[in-house]
Amino acid sequence: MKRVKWISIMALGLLSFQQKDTSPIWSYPSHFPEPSYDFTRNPLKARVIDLGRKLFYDPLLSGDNSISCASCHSPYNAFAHTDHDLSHGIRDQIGNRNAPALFNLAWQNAFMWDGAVNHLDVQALAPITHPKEMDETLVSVIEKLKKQAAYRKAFKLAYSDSIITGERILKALSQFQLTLVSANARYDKVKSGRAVFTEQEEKGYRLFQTHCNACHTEPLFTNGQFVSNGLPVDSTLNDAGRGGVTKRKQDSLLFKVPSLRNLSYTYPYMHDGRFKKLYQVLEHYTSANKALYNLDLRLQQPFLLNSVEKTDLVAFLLTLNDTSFVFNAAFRDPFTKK
Amino acid sequence: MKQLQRLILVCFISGFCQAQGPALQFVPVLNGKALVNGKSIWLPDIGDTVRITTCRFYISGIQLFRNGKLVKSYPSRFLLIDMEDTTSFNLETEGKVRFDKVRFVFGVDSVIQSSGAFGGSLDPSKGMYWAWQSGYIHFKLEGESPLCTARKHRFQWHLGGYRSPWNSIQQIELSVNRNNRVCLELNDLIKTLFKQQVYELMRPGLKAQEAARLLATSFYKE
Ligand code: HEC
Ligand code: HEC
Repeated sequence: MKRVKWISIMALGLLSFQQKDTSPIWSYPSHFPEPSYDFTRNPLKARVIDLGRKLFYDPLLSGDNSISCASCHSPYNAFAHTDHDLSHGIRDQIGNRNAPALFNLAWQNAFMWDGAVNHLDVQALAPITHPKEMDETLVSVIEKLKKQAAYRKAFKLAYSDSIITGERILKALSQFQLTLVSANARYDKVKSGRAVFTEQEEKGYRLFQTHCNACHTEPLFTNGQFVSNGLPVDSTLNDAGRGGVTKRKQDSLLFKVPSLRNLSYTYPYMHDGRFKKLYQVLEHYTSANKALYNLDLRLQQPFLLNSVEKTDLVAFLLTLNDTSFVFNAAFRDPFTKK
Repeated sequence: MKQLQRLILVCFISGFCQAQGPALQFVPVLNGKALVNGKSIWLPDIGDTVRITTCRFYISGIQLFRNGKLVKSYPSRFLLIDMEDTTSFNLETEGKVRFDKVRFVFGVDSVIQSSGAFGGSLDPSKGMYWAWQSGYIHFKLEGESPLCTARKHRFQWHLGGYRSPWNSIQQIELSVNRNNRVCLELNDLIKTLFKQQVYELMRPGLKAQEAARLLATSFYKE
C-alpha cells in the first residue's frame, strides 16, 4: 500500500513536470507576423529558459566575474542600458556603441547595429569574448560552470544530462532572450480591439504613418533594414556601421533600423546614444542639416512638424511603451530574492 | 604452441580491425612530412625554418564515389582536423566502403554558417568560430619563423568567409581509394604568403579567398 502511494506520487510529479515543459511558454498576438527564428532547431523548454535566465544574469560569464549580460541590458530599461550613451564593460572600459534594447528578437534576422552577427544563437559569443565587454572565453565559461553543482544540476534538468557545452550555453541564452516578447503596449491593445486611441494619439499615429512607418514598420516598428537616417558622423568614433562589415562603399554609415517600442525606457537613442530626449530625435528628423552621404531616399525630402504635431507624434510613440513587458517578474534577476 | 596461437589470434584481430578502420584519412603535411607540434622544419622554398604551433581545419560534405556513382555520403559529418590529435584525421565508417573518388568541402558550408550554434566538432568552444562577425573559420594555421617580420616572428592565418564576394569555401575532388590518404601540403601557402609578407589574416576578404583557393590546389593523394 505504502509502495503504491509512493509510485502514484512519482507519477503525479512526472505529470506536473511534463505539463510545465509543454505548456504554451511562447505566444504572440495575431497582428504580429510569423517569427523568423527557427524554433525546431532549439525548441523552447521551461527548464532551458530558466537556465538561460540564470546565465544572462550571472557575472561568471565575464573574465573577472564582474559583468553579466544584464549589466548592459537591464530589465528595468527594456534590456537597454539607460543613461549610458556608449556601453560600459569590464574594468570600466567604454565601448563604441549604445547597448540596444532586447525584445522581439525572434523576428530579427540580423543582430548588432551593423548586422555583424547573423543569428541569435551565436550573438552571445561577441560580448563574452570582447576585451572591452566581458573579456572571457567560452572554454573558460564552461570550466567555471562545471565547478558549480547548481549549474550541473540546472544543465541536467534542462538537457537530461549534466554535460556542459558551448552549444548548450548559447542556445539556453537564446531561449531566455526569445521569451522577451513585447506585444502588450497600448498600441497592441488598440490593434486587438481592447482600447482606443485618444484624439491626440490618433493624430500622432497618422503623422507616424506618413513620416516614420516606412522604416519603423508596424507592428514591430522596424523593417530590419540597414539605412542612414542622416546622422552626422561622430568623428571621435568614426563608426562606418554596415560598411564596416561588408567593406562596401554603398553600405557605409548604414545602421539597422531599431524598434520604437519602449522608448521611455531605452534612452539615450541612436547607435551612439547621442540623443537623450525624444524631442531631440524629432529635431533631427525635421532638420535640413542631415548628413547627405548615403542618406535614405525616404528622408531626402525635408518635412516640417509644428510643435502641436510634434506633441501628437510623441503621444503616439508613448503608446508603444509596454509596461507589462518592462515589469514582468519572469524576466528579472533569478538570483535576487523577491 | 600456446604462444603461437596467441600470435595468430593477435594477427587475426589486428587484420580485422584494419578492415573496420577509417575509410579515409585527411592529413596536413609540410614539405611532405607529418606535422609535429613544436618542431622546427627547414623549408628550402623560403630558405629558413618554420615551426607550426596550430593547424586545424574543417572537412565536410564528404561524398564517396565508385565508377562515377555515389556510394556513400556524410552530410552531417564535420571533421575538424587538428594536427595535435591524429585520431581527428579519420573518416570513420561502419562497414567496408569501396570507392575510387572522393568529393568534399574544405571549410563549413553557408547553410551551417547562418543557422546558429551547433555541437560536436562545430561547437563554438572549439575556437573555430569568429565572435565579432558571425562565421566559422575554415582553416587556421599559426606558427613562427625567424624570417617572419611580425611580432615575435609569429604568423597567424585564419581563413573564413562564406558570403559573396568573399566566399572562401572550396569544393575538392580527388581520385582515391581506401588505401590512400588525402594530404594537405602547406608549403605553397607558406611560401606565397611569406613572399607577400602577409603574416596575419583574420577576416574574410580577397587575401583569405586567394589563400583558400591556393590550399584547394594543395590537396593530393598518397
Ligand atoms: C559591456 C556591455 C554589454 C554586455 C556585457 C553585453 N552586451 Fe549585448 N550589446 C551591447 C552593445 C553595445 C550591443 C550593440 C553592439 C553593436 O552594435 O556592435 C549589444 C547587442 C546585443 C544584442 C543584439 C541586439 C540587436 O537588436 O541587434 C543582443 C541579442 C545582446 N547584445 C545580448 C547580450 C547577451 C546575451 C549578453 C551576455 C552574454 C550581452 N549582450 C552582454 C552591450 C553589451
Ligand atoms: C529612412 C528610414 C527611417 C525613417 C523614415 C525614420 N527613421 Fe528613425 N531610425 C532610422 C535608423 C536607421 C535609425 C538608427 C540610426 C542610428 O542609430 O544610426 C533610427 C533611429 C530612430 C530612433 C532611436 C531609437 C533607439 O532605440 O535608439 C528613434 C526614436 C526614431 N528613429 C524615430 C523616428 C521617427 C519618430 C520617425 C518619423 C518622424 C523616424 N524615426 C523615421 C531610420 C528611419
